[in-house]
Amino acid sequence: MSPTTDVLEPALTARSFRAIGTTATVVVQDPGDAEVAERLLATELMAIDLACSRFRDDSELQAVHADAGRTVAVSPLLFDALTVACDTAERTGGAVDPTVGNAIAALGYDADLDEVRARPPVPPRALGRVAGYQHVQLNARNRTVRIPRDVRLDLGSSAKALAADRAVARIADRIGSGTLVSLGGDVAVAGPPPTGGWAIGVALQSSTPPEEADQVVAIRHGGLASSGTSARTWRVGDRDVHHIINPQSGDCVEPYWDLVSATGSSCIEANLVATAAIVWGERALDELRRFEQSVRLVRLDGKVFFVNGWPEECAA
Amino acid sequence: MSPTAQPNRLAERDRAKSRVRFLTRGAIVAASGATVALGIVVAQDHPGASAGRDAANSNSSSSSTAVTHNSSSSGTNSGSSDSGTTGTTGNTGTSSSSSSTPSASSSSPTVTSGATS
Repeated sequence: MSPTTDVLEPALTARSFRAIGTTATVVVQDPGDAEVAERLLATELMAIDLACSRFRDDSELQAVHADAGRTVAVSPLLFDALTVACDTAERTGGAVDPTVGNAIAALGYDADLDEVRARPPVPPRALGRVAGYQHVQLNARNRTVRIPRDVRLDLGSSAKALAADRAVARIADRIGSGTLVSLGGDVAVAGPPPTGGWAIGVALQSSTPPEEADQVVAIRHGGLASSGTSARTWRVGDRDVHHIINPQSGDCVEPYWDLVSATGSSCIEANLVATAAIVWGERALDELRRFEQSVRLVRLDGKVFFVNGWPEECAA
Repeated sequence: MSPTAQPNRLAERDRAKSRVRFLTRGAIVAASGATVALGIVVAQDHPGASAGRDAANSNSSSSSTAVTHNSSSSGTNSGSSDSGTTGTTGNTGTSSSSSSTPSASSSSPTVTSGATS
């Protein structure tokens, strides 16, 4: 972990470091708060990784996998992550489903992406329709979970969004000031925002420098999240695949949207819509009618669609 | 794959959902009474999708969907791709009054939201 510090105008200070396979950034309005903010974010991410990672043998999620078919008591954090994942699945009609763990592993994504990309391409092995979130049994009273035998979970984007929401709330509460947290471009903000709100660049890839983003929008609370099929890709057989799985096929989603960005009352709310829209593909514009999140969708041919009040133009 | 477990109990799920929502939205003022409708605007091509950064520098009088934000100036350099699919069809629906609706900004962004790399 080699953190970097950028002093931004006016008096915004950003700290970035690598964690949970992506870039984590915290932005505060008083440079004196940067140190504690970064430390709190790192602590939160270590906790979410230990609870939810499907790549490390000592994670709590792996213990749940090992006990598949049996009822297991879990920590409050993992229980929250499981609840968010199942809630996300339910609200998206199963488009974003946590029981895709075996499916994505069968496509080769069973380790950190750098490691996956370094391997020789493996033959494609789509497993077909996944078990479905309905078979994840959660008991809030006893804080237990039971998953079917042979099912593995991928809490993926919903856990990342949960981590962003948790971290930003904790940091803002501690420092008593407005805070922004970005985990690979999934953004959560809390506390009083800067004048004009939190300016966030939107670009096809979160690695794009903010000053080179395609559009700049501002939010004052909640979150902004993006999902796309062009960044986390690797080679399988004779084709490139990505990390967003269609639960109906067990294969990666056939790309229709290049990028979907959404805002919401939290990063979780934004993320569920952005990810689901990728899975819905052409149906997304219809499906989004039942949500209130503002959404920007970039189709593969470059056309941009806006839903529920996303600003059409950047400020000039 | 043949799952054998029974579906969740609704009451338990509801309690769990309420708990998580409380945890994750504690610092957020919820939107209330928002009248939400759908508006879809078809804008012109998105230069970043295939044409790369160069497209953002092409001249166009139409509204921008890609902007090179210059933090050293008060404005932005906007442009669109030249594929001919410019123009905005206008809102076919309405705008949203959701309190999480973003606004256009001329400030310097601190982070980029995009596909996670």
